[in-house]
Amino acid sequence: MEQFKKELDRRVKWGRAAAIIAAILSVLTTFVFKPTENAASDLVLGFVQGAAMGLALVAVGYMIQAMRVRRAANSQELMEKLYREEQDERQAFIRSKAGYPAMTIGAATLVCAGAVLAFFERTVSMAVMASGIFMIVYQLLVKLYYSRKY
Amino acid sequence: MAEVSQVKNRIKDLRKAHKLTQEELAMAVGTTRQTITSIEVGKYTASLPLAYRIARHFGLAIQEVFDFSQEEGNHGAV
Repeated sequence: MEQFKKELDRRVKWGRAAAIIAAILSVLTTFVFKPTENAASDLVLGFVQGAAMGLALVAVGYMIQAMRVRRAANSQELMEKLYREEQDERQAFIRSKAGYPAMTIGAATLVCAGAVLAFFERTVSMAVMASGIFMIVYQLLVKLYYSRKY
Repeated sequence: MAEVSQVKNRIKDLRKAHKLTQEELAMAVGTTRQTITSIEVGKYTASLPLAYRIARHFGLAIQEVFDFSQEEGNHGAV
């Protein structure tokens, strides 16, 4: 249980770091980085900026959730329930079937790479980002399928 | 490719005999209510440690809770 509480603290820190990075990226893409001649149009750049802001919001939400859970440490019953949900073998089985975390990391990498490429080459940028988004959607569908199957 | 067979069990009957809810049994054996539900209906096969904890909670041996006769039939087939 102590290990679980430390894990929650670690998630809060990671969520905080991700929110800060996303906020910095939002500022940089809006005010600092200048696209090349072959770069994506304003539409794609706007998408990248929006994605960075969305990431910041998701990171903040993740961090707030982790902090709320960490505060629930005062309730032993709630902590035990959260711990059981975290360690549940069926959920671990479903996650492994859906390719977590490797596929998630791969998809996130593709989306980030696509965001960077938007400043250089439009077509490649959109193709890479679409691949990343497709992987995320596919993974969610597979997870849903196995959640119903098992 | 060999087909994975689902192991049948008496968990639901035993749970009702002990007047336990799925949540209470889940808490007792360290898993979630959804997992207990899936095991009871035969959708999910519990791992050996979880099967052991469930059987121990009811004071029975694993083979008294889970029906492995179908598994033995599959292994016996050529």
